[in-house]
Amino acid sequence: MTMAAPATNSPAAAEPDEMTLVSQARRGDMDAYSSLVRRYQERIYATMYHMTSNHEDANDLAQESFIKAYQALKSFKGDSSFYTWLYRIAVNKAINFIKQRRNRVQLSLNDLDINAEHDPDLVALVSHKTPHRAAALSELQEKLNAAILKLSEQHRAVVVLHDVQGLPHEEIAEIMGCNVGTIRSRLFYARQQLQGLLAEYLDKK
Amino acid sequence: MSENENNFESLRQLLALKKHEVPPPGYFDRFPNRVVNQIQSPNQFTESQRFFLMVPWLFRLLLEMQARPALTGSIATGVFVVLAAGLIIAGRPDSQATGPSNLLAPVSADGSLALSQAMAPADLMTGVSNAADSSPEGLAISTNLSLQPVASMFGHPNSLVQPASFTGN
Repeated sequence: MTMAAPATNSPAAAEPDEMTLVSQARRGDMDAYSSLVRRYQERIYATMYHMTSNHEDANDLAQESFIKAYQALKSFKGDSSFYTWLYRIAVNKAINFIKQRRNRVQLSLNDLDINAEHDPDLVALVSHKTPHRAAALSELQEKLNAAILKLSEQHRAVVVLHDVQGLPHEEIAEIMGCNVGTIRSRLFYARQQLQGLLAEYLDKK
Repeated sequence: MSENENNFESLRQLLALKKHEVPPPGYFDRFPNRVVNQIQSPNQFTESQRFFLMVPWLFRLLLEMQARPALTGSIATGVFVVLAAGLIIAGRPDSQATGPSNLLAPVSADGSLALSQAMAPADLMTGVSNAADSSPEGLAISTNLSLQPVASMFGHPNSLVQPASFTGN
């Protein structure tokens, strides 16, 4: 799930560019907005999911983010790309949500996709742990999510956006409204914490 | 910073595995329609959302309770104390005269109900039904609702109550 390119959902070649769709959506064209949703839904959902480790919460947050973006579309001045602006709305929503539910510990993990068992990194991690690979995968998934949930919302957002989604530091800084140095230092701290929490798996590599 | 990047290479590889966590199949096919529907009909709430919109204080309370386990514990303790106190008070001897334990009225040997003066109207009807169980054929009860006893908190019999008549065996 590399995130650097603005469109992972491979919009059709004939589909208008982002700014055209935005201006059409601004005039109330719901088909245009639907195209924008289709274009970014996977990344917004993934960000919400990796920050909450819960499908239902991710679904609600992703929907609310797109709805809020539509309602605020008139205030979008085009200083940044629509994609960055949308991300900002979504990440702020997720951070507020996590703050409100800080004490709620709930893990409802999604199923791993069928490619997971063939991922060489994953195989290397779990094959010598136990012959029951499915159970080991599930355990790894739980540990990974539990470790991420232990990070503060700001650190979690940086790790998810950079190490999971693959966004560059500069873009994360723009999304989170702080400078690149802050992002780098948050990332360093978050990784250190994760390294401690996941030492059991990292030692095997 | 590149040295740091190298230090965390294993961790980055591990985190990259999260890409395999995916929503249910078909989820992204339906998602844009759901967003557009919600935008076009913002009042389309789910059953639970509608309920919570009608009772906003309950929604806030639930959120608070989720966020603060200590508050939840305090409320639960409070409810338990109130219930326990209620049970203890109800079980005290001085409350037995009008308490629930007196609901079963005694039935005399000839089949008539022995009503004490202090008995509440509710007691009266319970006694009748109890007597009816013992001799169903000899019991006639008025079904006129206006004559049915009305529960009173003060233990005075209602003037509209007519005693059950027994044709006898």
